[in-house]
Amino acid sequence: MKAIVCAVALFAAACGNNKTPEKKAVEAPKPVEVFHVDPATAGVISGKVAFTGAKPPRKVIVMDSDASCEKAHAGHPVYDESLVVGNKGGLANAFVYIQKGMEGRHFEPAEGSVLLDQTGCTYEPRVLGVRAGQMIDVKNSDAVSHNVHFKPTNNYDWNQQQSPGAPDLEHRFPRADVMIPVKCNVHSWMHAFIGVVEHPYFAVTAQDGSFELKNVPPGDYTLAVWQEKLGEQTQQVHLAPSGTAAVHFTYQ
Amino acid sequence: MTHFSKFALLVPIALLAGCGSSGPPYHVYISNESSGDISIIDPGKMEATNVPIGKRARGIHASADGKLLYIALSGSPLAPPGVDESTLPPPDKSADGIGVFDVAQRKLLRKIPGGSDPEQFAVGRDGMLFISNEDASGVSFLDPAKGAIVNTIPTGPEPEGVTLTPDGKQIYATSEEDGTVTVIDIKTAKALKTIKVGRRPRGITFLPDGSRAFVTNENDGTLSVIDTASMEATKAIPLGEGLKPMGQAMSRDGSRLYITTGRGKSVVIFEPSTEKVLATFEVGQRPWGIALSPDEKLLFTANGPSNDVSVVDIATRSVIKKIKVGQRPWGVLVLQ
Repeated sequence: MKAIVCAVALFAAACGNNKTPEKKAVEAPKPVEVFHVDPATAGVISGKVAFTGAKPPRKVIVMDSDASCEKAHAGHPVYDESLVVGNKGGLANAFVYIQKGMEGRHFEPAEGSVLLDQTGCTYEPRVLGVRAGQMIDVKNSDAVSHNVHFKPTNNYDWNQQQSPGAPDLEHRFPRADVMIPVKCNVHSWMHAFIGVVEHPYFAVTAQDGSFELKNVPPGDYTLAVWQEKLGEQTQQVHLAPSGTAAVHFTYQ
Repeated sequence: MTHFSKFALLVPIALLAGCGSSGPPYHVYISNESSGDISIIDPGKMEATNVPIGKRARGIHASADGKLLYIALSGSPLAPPGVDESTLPPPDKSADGIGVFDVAQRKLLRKIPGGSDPEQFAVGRDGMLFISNEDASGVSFLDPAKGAIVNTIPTGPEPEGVTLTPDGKQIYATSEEDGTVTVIDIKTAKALKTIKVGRRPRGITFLPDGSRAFVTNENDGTLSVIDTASMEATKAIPLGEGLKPMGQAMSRDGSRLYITTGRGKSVVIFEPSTEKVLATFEVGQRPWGIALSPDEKLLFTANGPSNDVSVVDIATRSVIKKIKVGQRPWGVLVLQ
């Protein structure tokens, strides 16, 4: 009896009332309006990031756990670059970007890729910026295997082994993420950081701590700087049409 | 394979698992990193049932009374190979936490905050959870009743394995980046000593009497031995070419230590009394989590890339069954 009831129920469920389900109208995705910067009114935000605290002693990275890494430097010491301070207090390898003020603007996708090289068992560069969706080429220039491991917050964890001479690995982060730590799962001293931003207004400070953001549309922005040991600071910036704005950050 | 040969294979499996009318009095719990669930294996049937638990389940341990499971959950997913990440939902940090799972009801009761992206932890005698907290570079003490972190003790960058000493008084925690183990006194919530071991130390296991600790060093392919009285690493023992030691399971009498080796695909049988490797044999793809059956006749290993658990007959050192579980099985817990 149970079997008959089940069969009837299955038949009813399978056949239903034979009405063709109504097709729902599918809305076409709205085209994204690309924001074009007017060169006639665009300006420049530039400045310097400084460190006024006691200059830290340089720390030598010990690579004796991997003879190939040591050999790559032919006995020359390799220094930890987590805090690089120039002669006049300029802070290198700080990531500067417009944190607020660009919302709702969709820029042309970035052209080309950005290189992250593993050379001498260090990452080069240590700090880099990319646009969301832009390709990152991960190269192994060393004679040893590495295992690059991106550890994002707003994107997916990504972890790939790369043998010597292997083709470049390619990866892109679809979402903004400041900053993404990068480590090598084989060599514990290898660290890099990637800033992923939706717009093209970001820079990594030079050896003297200077930076420059060009072709910025006029407006009011929050400018942020991030440094791996010292954290983040922000400042409000007003950029007049065709103007220039000087912004200086100081870490103590 | 003929019907006869299938039957011939199934008989020893059933016997080894102690299959009777009511089945063996234990279950095997597997945390699955990529499918949002845990798998519960009935060793009598050698089959798994998957139960939803939350995102990126990894560390898995039982409460002292065995009525609850604690499972580390994370909303920071792994990028699946070959998939365009922009087509996937974004990470969800609100999914981070320690899931509290009721064993009898087979359901998640709640999720308590456990820091960002929790992975490994240990359970104290009084119920406190000790979680390796990468953001804080330390071990966080999580009071599950309060649902709050009450202490964080620095260990060094990238803390990973956390294990309670057999007397329940201390925590040993590894730092992947520094290649160290930090000994933490639970009562005073202070680090007593940091001990240098090998590269990328993963897990720690103790002899039952607590006199020695064994640390798997993934990047050196070695096992460090720590004399717990002096808190000194006495030696690092090579386990074999190409092996990446990861998880460990110690026999109750301390006579055998079973070690998974990740990309080495094998389990190493190590004899603590002689500090020698007795045997190495292949079990599956990238085995990590490992546990012994209560009668210590079977081993279970979680093989991440192949989405299965190997059931190993210890006497013959052979895989007698591979059980399909969820995606990317990570941890193994046997609970009676």
